[in-house]
Amino acid sequence: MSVLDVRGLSKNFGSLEVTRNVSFALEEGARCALIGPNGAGKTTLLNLISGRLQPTAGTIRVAGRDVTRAPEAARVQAGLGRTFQITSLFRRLTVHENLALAVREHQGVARLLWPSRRVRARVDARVAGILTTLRLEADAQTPVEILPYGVQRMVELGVALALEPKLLLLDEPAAGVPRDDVGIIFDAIAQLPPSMAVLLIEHDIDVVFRFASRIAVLVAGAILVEGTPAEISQHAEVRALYLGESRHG
Amino acid sequence: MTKTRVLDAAVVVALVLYPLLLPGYLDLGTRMIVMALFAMSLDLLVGYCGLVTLGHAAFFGVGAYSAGILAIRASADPLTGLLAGGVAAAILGLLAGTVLLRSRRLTLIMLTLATVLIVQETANRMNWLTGGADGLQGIDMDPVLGRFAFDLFGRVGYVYAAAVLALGFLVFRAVVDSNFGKSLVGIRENEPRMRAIGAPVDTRLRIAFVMSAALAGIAGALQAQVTEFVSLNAVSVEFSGEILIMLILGGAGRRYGAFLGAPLYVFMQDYLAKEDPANWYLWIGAMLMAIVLFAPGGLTKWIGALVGRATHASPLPGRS
Repeated sequence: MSVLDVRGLSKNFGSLEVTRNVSFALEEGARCALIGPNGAGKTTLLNLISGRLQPTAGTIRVAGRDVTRAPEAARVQAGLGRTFQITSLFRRLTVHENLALAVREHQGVARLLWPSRRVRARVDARVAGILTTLRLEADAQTPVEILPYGVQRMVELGVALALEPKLLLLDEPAAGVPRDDVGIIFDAIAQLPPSMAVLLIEHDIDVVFRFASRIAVLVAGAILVEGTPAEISQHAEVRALYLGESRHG
Repeated sequence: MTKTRVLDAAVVVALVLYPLLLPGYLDLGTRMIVMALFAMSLDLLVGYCGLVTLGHAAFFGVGAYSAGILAIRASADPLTGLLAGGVAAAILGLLAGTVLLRSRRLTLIMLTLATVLIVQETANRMNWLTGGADGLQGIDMDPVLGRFAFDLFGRVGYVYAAAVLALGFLVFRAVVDSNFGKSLVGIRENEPRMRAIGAPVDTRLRIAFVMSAALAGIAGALQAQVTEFVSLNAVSVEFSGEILIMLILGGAGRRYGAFLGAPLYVFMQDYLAKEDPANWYLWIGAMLMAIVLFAPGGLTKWIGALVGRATHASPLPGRS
């Protein structure tokens, strides 16, 4: 069973077709990258999968469950987690509290009015685990808004990981991060649990080729070609359209 | 933890000291207490959920009328009245919340405004039940717990109101410190992200709305019982605005904001109405402007920053 199964997905804004008949599937543990020029509709596709946008046509299944019309919360319960291209955190709260909010939702204790000591300890233990994995311990009690952007991107990743998703959607996880800090973020991504399926949007072609076992190229809302990194790098149209462009850009 | 304990104790000490220091102003103190409870209920929405409303008096008023009408027609037991006021306001909160919470920001403010106007006009039209523009008169409460009769000097009224406020604060504190309360703060800070981590945002807000309405209804019931009168002003837009001002003065979402803002406003109102009855609203306006300009976030935040500056070099925790 595929972790993500997208069939015939389309999205129109009025007469503008931003997603055109997109179909693909991700298996458990997949490492897939979505590339394409600016305005190709990559983030829109992610928003359709995560439920922020409703598709005009097509179906989306997460871990076998049809979530095409389901709200975002139901998709998270089915096993979906995502990060945002522009950091979307609880800026005035500490790193610890940012992670704890997500952990409480995942453990199903976020609505409790009188959480027991055991419940609180279990949340704290999980938060501590994520802080260690992402090497954020030193910043745990710092409000997110005063952290360097690179650290904020790590917290962004941490919030998604707190949901222990089967499927993780990463929208340019290193966007806006100073070059020196990019490595830390991709090291963290390389160490994601092997069973987690990951769909990554990324502009840095070197990163994409190192990370992905499959690559899909999105052009004008439709998948132009999909294949292994070797196949993609040999594809004439992709070279002309995208790789050439990035080499000179 | 220790800091909040000290401040909690300070609230209790203030409640106990007031009647000892100002025994001639118990009515004023009782009014401060009722307003603090009402402002606290509003804080749950404004401060913790980030939902601004100009119609919160609808719930206060429904609580007041319910307790008053119950006392006149069926049972004059104070605690039964509080319960009735809370339940009636909670029911209205559930109905209103289901409709109102589809909107945010300006649209929400407009709809809350409409809600309080509808409730006020309904109360006005049903004058056979509510007394209409003359107000609800003839409330005569039984003794509290069957033992403590309301006296002319307002002693029992003060102690009763103070006890209700203390209990209300315990509930409020438990809610905002709970996982549920923290998730409300998450919604206030970043609603889209809360949805993206799987939080049922609409349900959470609806529950908070009902809680807030119930607390406002209890405050209304308390007012009806201690003053033995309910006027149409209790369900007015003006009163909804006033309570919002009290909260902003003290500081929204800051736990003790209602305790500072409401008494200060009530005191200023009382003092200025005597000293300068023609222009007292002007002075209230000036005070609000001063707060917004020089202490944004309210007095509690301003005082907190002052204390922080005095005790630490930097108010923000440093990065190591």
